[in-house]
Amino acid sequence: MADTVTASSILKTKFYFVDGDDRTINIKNPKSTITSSDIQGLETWMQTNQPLVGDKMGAAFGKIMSATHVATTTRELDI
Amino acid sequence: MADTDLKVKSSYAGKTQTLTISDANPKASDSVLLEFAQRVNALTDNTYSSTDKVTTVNLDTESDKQTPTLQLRAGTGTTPLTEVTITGKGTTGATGKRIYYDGDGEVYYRMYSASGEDGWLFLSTKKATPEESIIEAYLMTSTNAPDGTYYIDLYSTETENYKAATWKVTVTLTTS
Repeated sequence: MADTVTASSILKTKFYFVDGDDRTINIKNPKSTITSSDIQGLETWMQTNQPLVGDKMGAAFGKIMSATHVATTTRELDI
Repeated sequence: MADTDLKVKSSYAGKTQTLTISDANPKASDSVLLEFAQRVNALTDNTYSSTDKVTTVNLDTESDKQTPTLQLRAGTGTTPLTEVTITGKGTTGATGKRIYYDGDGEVYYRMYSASGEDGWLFLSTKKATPEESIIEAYLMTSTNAPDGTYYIDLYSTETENYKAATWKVTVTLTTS
């Protein structure tokens, strides 16, 4: 049997709050066509609608600090 | 303190998966949280399934909170006034206002008019039903203060566990 190869990808998205706190959410299987304007669109919507809060007394969401598309290829060797 | 998580369920290549988004804003409406979950999913190739909002409450530290309602009745009779104007008496003084709670049921608003000194607006709480507290306001003034117009600015400070107070402002002036 040949080696087993699986590919997976995660969008590591770092959210920043005005109390200085930041939080990373790993979003599985991001679209390969994601652009920075998609992330900026989400950021703008979040600034208006505030779906998330920071630790200190519900500090408001500030911005998306980074969004990193991490693609992983796992090859399980057939031994 | 209650924590609110979103559990976003979706499927990819036939396998279901759950993304947990923690620290959702407990003051956000359910429709905002749902839209957020769907927008996050829209960045993916996952097929969206559902979103649950899960609130965790530590019963050891939580206590019941009420939504405070401040209701001040004004004028004679029961018809509420739409403007809050208090005519009081005071000598010359600074402008401003100060609110404090004396610890045993009375909340004091101290007001300063633009041209006069303070009149004290004295609020006393009275629980009418388990669901509401009615605060009655009384104006106390000093004896030699001039007539003038005093203004009250009422606002609520939201904390994690309270909803904003609803302010229906009609002011009762007790003259005696």
